[in-house]
Amino acid sequence: MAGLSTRHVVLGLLVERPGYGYDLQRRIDARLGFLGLSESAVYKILERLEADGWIEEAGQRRIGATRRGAPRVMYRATPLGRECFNAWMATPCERAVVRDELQAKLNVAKPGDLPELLRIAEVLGRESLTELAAMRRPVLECAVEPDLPWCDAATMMVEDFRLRSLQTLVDWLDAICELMEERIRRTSAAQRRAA
Amino acid sequence: MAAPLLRFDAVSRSYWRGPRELRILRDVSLDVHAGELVAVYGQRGSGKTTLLRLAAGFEQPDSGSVSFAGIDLARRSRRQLADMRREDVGWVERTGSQSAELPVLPSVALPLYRAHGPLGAQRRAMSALARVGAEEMAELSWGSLSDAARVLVALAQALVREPRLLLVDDPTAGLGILDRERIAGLLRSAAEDSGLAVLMAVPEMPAMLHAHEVRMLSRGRLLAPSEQRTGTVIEFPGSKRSA
Repeated sequence: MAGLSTRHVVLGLLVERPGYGYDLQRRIDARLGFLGLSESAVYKILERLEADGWIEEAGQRRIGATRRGAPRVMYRATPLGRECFNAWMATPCERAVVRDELQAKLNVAKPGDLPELLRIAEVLGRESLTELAAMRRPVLECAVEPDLPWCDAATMMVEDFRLRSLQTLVDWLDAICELMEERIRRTSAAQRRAA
Repeated sequence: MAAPLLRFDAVSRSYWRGPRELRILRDVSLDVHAGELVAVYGQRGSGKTTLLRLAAGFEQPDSGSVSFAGIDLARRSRRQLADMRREDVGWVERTGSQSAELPVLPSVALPLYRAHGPLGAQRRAMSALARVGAEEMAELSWGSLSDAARVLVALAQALVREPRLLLVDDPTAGLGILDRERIAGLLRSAAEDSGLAVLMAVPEMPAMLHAHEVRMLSRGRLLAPSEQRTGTVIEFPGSKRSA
């Protein structure tokens, strides 16, 4: 199994408690927003999970029908689904692959592009600080309190990763900006000497 | 909004290494108000400590001005600056001038002996220690304290004189995640509950989440967030505090 499996994420939410499509999409949005799963993508995953026998219908709920007026289908994990979930939980994780646009641009830049890249890197650094300023969470200490639901503690831990990634990005941008600035300075000094 | 307690106005500061000018701070402007925790992030050597030293009047800017309570520090005499540092400014750093054998309680009480007598001084020292949750360290010697405990005691030492401005240098450097959260949280409470202005330099970003304002020192420039975005505020049920 390679990479992040959205099927297992949806399955995991149904192992946690039964749910219907829209409810699952909202739970994913709140806790795993970075997946960017749409409601229709969730329905597709539900169909596949049901076809594989990992989940089954747990009856229909008339109250709070879908927007089209159809009854909501509640799903729950089957015993096979729970087994698959446990097996996935115990599988080692792969590291995320970084596909960074600036890294690509650095690699193919012409010497004359440096001032522009420097400016772009500076803008990225400023944006990172803006993102950080918008992140607000209660003290991470709460994550160890047993009375805080685990899903909230987990969200805080994932946020902590985002924060540390931001710091790594900012430190790297700082370093390459310094290098580019110095290189630009030395290049123009060398050009002046040659002229 | 009330006038800031501490204001940097277009401050620049350079050091000279031989013939080469190191521009530590370039055109830095920053306001810190009473009741506010402002965090400045920067890597090692980014000028954070210089910023704090300028705020305490230990150094003067090459250009621009630093003012405290509306008065330009450059216009204060050395004696007035010393008075300000003793009465109005608390400087928190882990490598205090403590002797390793001196127990914590007298080391916190020391600056108060003259004004309040030994008993009054110790009583105030004890309540400062209690404020940071370090009462149980009162009898221990500085040398036997952990890094995190030293930060707490240094904070009590700064708070005991009831300053108006706290300057805190890398309080969370090298600490574990729980100690870091606790100390950053204490600094925020100090600002909110006692109306202190707190300027904190931090070497890592997670500690900044407790601050009211965040800034970043990058190649001598003090960056501010471009705009305060809304809609990404995360609220957790059962949280002790929401920012």
